[in-house]
Amino acid sequence: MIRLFFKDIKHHLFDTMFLFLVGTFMFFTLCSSVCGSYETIRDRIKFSDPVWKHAYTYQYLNYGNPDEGAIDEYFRRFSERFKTVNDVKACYVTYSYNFCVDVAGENINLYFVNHDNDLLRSIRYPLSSGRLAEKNEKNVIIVSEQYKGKLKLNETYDFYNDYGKVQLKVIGFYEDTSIIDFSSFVNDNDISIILGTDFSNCVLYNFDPGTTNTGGMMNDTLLISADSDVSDDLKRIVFEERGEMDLLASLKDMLDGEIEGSRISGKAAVYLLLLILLVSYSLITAGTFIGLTRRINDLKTFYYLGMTLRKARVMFALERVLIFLCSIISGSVIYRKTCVTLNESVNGGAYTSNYWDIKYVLITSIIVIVLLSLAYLPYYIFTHKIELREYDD
Amino acid sequence: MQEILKLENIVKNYGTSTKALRGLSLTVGKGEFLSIMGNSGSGKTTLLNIIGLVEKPTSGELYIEGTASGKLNESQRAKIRNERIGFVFQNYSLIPYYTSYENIVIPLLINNVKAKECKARVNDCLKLVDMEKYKNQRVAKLSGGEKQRIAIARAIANKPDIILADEPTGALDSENGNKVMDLLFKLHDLGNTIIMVTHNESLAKMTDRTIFIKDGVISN
Repeated sequence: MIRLFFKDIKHHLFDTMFLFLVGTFMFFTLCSSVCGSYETIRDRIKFSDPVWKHAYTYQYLNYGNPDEGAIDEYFRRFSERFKTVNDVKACYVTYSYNFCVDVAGENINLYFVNHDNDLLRSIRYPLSSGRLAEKNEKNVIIVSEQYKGKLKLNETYDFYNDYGKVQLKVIGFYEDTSIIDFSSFVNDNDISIILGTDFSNCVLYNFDPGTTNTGGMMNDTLLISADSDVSDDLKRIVFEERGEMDLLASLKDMLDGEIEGSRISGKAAVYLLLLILLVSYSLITAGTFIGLTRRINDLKTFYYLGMTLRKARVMFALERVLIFLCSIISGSVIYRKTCVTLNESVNGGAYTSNYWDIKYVLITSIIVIVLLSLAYLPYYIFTHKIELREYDD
Repeated sequence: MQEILKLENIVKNYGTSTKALRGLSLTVGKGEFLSIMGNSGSGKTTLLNIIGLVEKPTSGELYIEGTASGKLNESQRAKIRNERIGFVFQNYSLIPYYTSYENIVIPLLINNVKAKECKARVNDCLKLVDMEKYKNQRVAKLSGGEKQRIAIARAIANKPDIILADEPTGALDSENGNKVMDLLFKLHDLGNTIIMVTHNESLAKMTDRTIFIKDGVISN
């Protein structure tokens, strides 16, 4: 029977390939629909919160808005505003500062001070040795391992600029400078971000310049943590100070508009995918029916030649199920590859797990089982109604 | 003559209104060439289907070499159909997109005959029906007579005892019809029991015995 099974598939190569391709397409759209639906639902919940509760707002400004001039203007206005609220908990007005120091004939550039959190650290700073900074630890640095020959772990060094010096302690070496590039996409939407920095060689934590003369080289830099209470404080203070919502409201409106736009286009994409799914499903069902009507006499012949009707039905159904399973594998592989490619090109590889969650697999599997049942139910009804009497005289 | 088939009071109804066979009894001897005649709708093919274990009688019993078919389950019936009975139809019932070889090998594959054995048997069958040169030809491209010869080759592939032929020459011209009949007589000479439904009286006269069916019973 197995030989007959494969012989039959060979003779229906066109049907087989057609159903395989449609099935692949169907499963691909199925995956996309399920994941798309999930993303839409998730984003709706996420972005329906007050916008200031999320560091996302800042990140959106920093990375999502292509108008660099506008971003600079926002930063400037924020910086002015925050100069007056230095005492706000977990919100720091700090300094972006160039330290130039001659270490074995080479310069090391230090740019900023950072309040950080564990998630941010774990993503950004894979260390080759040493440790991450504690939250309130001041004037400690993690440098690229390319300086391992020049700087020693847990040693304190003097760093100079043209106007003075500061002592910084080396607490760790990170593996790759390219990882810590804040001007590119940050790996997680929900963590704090650093504005207006251009980092290259090291991370300086909680910089306290002490008595060092900054020589007017300081630039105001706003650093915001992911802590939600920071945002609430900011909101309160800015609102109270201004007595109006002009800046915040305009930002919020802009962000809400863009989020809503994304949501609508996300929904449209999901509906479109569902429509394609429906069409593909119809094609599969139609293909099964056409195949059956064309092969009903074959089924009868097999029966006459000594196969039970049940076996004959199973053989034909198995063929379809096999095609469908291959389609599922193929569709999911293509889906996976598409996600990876899109993620790489659009998000810089940020969302490594979101599209391949066990939830998706389960949801998709349930849908596949339901669809399969629906697609083959007519088949069984049809084949059970086969009348052998047409051979009667 | 040793008895190979015995039908006892076979009744076959389709629904409540159609009574195809009404208490038909018949005995067929081993190696006999029996022809069945009758008008359209008289129940000839129904009888053939019951003998071929394709359909079950509503009542009555069919014995194949003493074994009551009513006690057999579907799988056992299929096995007997595969191993002991060969079918030849007026419309050939070949799979058109299969080659001659592939059509003939189907009952052997169903019977799980080994590949080497399959090849040898199919070649023997093709030789017997003189269709060797059409071995790899798709049957859709064959003439009616050629198709029927392939159908006969398929019917004998599993070396069955009984060959059931339902108007095997019905769709053929006289020349091809004669060739097919020659083949059936050849198989008969080889010891096969052949039961043939026909409307052609001259063909029926050439067989060992002819029965006439009228309104679901044997009328002669």
